[in-house]
Amino acid sequence: MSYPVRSAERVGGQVIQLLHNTGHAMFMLLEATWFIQFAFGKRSRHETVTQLFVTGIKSLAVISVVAMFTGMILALQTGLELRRYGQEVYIGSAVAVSMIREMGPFMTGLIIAASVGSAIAAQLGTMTVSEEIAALEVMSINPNRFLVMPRLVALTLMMPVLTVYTNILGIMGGAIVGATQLGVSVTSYMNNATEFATNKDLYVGLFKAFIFGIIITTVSCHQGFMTREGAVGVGKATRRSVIISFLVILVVGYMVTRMFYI
Amino acid sequence: MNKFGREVSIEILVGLFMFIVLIALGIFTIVLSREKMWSDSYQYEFVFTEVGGLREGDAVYLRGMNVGRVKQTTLEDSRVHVYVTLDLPINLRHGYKVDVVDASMLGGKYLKVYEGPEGAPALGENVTILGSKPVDMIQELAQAVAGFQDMIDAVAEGEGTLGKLLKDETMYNNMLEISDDLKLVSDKVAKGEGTVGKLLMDDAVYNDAASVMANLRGVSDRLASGEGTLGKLLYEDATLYDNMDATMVAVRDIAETINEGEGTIGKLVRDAKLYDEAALLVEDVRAAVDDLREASPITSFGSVMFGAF
Repeated sequence: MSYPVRSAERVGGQVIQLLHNTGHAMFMLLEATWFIQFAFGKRSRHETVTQLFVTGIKSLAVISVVAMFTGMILALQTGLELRRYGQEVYIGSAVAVSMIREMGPFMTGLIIAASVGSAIAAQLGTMTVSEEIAALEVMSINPNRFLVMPRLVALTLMMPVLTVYTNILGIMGGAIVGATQLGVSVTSYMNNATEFATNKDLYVGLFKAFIFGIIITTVSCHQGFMTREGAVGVGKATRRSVIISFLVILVVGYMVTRMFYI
Repeated sequence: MNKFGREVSIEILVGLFMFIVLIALGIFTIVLSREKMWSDSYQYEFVFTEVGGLREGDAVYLRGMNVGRVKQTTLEDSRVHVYVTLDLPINLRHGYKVDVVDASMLGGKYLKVYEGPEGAPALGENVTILGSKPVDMIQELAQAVAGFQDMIDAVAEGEGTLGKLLKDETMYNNMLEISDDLKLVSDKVAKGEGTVGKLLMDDAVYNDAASVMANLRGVSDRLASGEGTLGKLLYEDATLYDNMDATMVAVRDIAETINEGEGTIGKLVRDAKLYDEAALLVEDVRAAVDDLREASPITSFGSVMFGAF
């Protein structure tokens, strides 16, 4: 077989694999969504609450640091430029609008994808290579209901909640930098912060966070289920889940912004 | 802690966190909606021909204070109706103004309300409040730039004083001539020619002035030391003054005596009869002198003819 034919076969195979993976991920998501009705049922309640705890409470520390410093950096960078024109008082609105519209959901999405998403991929990948998933299926336990659905509920619920938390901390971080570095009083900063941001900005941001939660769960669980080749495969699945989540979050974030603001 | 207890504590933590964040979200929503939930608000309607991009949520300023927000803008009857919510009631008077103003060069608008002059009559109830047409800053700037461009074009074409200054060589030639003239004048001055030249270059005037000053100083010194008549007048004892005073008194007495008609001069001045007699005497004397003049040749001839006898 000639090289061009082999290359065309390989590309075609990859395209088919991509379509297969996407289809598999979508069916997994749809099935998990269908099982949400049992999220707080007797059999799933414990797992759902555990996932809510892991996603929400255990991520608080890292999210707090990232959110606070994101707000501080935004305030400092914007404030230094605005100070050249004597307009540093506007950092409040700059930080608030940036955090609420984009940075809050985006930073939360990245942190959760890197911490919780990678953990999900690693856990499900390990279960896959050790044939625990197969064992569940043999016992007629649907892995999508038992493993995916609680994570989907946890991430879709916790992502908006964590985004609100990120927004608050980011705006507070900006206020600290404004007061200590740029001579903008906290009152003035807060007045300005609430001057330009709107409820639409807030809820579009939360909608993004909700979508990011679905993306992270779908990508991570799917990569976990697709894991092959033992421990090496688990590492690959973890890495792929983080990369794909990041990319999809970026693209979907842009599309949601475009959908609501243009 | 057993499994059940651990699960309950996890649930409590998750629930607490979600509860706190939901409260924060509620506060966020209220703050960003900018609704004054626990204070009175006052609704007003302003009517504009156009609003220049004023939007819902833009601020309303009264005497430089933010007193509310634009709640809604609607197109009605070829006008724009702007509904605002204010934190306090406003009392508009005749001469009021409602303007749409640029918030900054970067964009944004706000409503500026001027209540009208103090003492002006208040607007009646149910009066439509009309707003002024906003000034389009970009259009104004474009017009200014266009005007400036016209000016540059006119200058480039040599129109006007500035254009002629740049384009017309007549003015340059005139300036050149003036410059030459000035050079001539300065050369003459440098050579000490003419009055200004002498003033600048010749020491004689200075020397004369110095000499005059020296003389004046000598005079002032002599005055100061009481020398000469003027010096004595200024600095001597009171003798001269007393003498002059006594003289003036005597002169005044004489004048009074004459004025009262006493003495010969007084009578001459005051007595009309004496005046008349004196006048007659003068006439008589004049007549006698005339007679004597006329008789003089005859007398002389007689003297010559009959002198020998």
